[in-house]
Amino acid sequence: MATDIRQQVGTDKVDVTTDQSVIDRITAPLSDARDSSRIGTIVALIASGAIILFSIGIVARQRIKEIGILKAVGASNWHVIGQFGVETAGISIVAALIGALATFPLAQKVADGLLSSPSTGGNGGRGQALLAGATRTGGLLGSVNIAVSPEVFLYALAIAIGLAIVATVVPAWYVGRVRPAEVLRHE
Amino acid sequence: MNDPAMENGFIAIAEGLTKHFPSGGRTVRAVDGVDFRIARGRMVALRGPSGCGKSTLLNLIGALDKPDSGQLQVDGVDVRRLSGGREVSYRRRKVGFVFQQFNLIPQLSALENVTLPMELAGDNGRNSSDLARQLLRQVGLDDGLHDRRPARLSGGEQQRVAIARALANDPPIILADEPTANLDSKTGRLIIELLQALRGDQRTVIIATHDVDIASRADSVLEMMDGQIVRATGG
Repeated sequence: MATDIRQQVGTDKVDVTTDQSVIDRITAPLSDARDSSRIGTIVALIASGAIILFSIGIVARQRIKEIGILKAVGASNWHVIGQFGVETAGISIVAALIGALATFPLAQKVADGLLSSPSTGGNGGRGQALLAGATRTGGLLGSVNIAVSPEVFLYALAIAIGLAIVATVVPAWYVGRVRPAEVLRHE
Repeated sequence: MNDPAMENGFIAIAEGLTKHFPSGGRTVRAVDGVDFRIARGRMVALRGPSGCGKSTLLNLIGALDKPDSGQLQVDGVDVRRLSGGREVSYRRRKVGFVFQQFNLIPQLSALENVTLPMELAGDNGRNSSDLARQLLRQVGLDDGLHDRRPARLSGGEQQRVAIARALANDPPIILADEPTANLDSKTGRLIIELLQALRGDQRTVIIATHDVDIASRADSVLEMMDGQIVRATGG
């Protein structure tokens, strides 16, 4: 119907607005923020995974003598891997808690920033439209309150533990290859 | 090799034992076709210059390294065939190692370093702690030093802790690799006397050393040169 009206009256004379287009304009910045957040989360996940992986790898190399001594006095590979796993998981959980506590006060500001800026405009026209939408819908949306639910918190913890488990794979492989004599000879 | 040899009082028997390392494009023949028989309950010195293969031979006996070829039987165990859980169990139960560099875990106290092998062997709790204190007293470490970390102990005290750790699971063989090399002569003498006192009916002590004086205190001496045993004295 909107199309018919535009064709009959002319778009230079009237601006035809439907309920759907109003809703689309209001929710476009939210969708954009959601997409940006999703990309940011994935990038952060990959980056933090890589950092944990390399950190644990470096720690394992630095503690190679300790690994050699432990194996020389009768520690099994699983014992040493378990020790590294527990340490990695502990550090990851503490890091997740610190990250969550630091993020909660910032979440609102980040959301406000994402809603008010054309962060992912594919071209100039879309970017301008998003900016216009954000500006216009700012009033309609009012203040968007970011509530971090317990589920989100548990997700963060689960991701931290998952990353820790993945990060112990490298030291596990490394520990399994260590011959105590070789390590103690070279240290 | 036959087990009757073990029953006849030999705790370790090697035939054609070999361990070579690649090093800088050439092969180091650290242990090169070694034969020996070590009687139970004796103190044996492996004597020779640096790089002659003493430490490598100790590492092979202690299952810290794997031989390339040959036979090695220790207290009825074919060491060459050890792997996985059996290798771990062998290191826990059959041998105790004393290193030149002491090799204590720096984050643990003297007492905890001694209880560690017991805990790894599944002996937890108060019993292991009491036994560890008893062992530390046996090696002459004052009670006041039991809760100190290695960094706060002298070299001689650290080596005493290392000896107590080696004794933790009451192994039949103690392997000591240049145990006095990082100690002054007086402390070194005390450590050797301590190791001498440990040998007995059920325990054999094998010491790698280049020190003639230490070797003279041993019941038998295996002299090594270029990866081979060139002379055995003392039976």
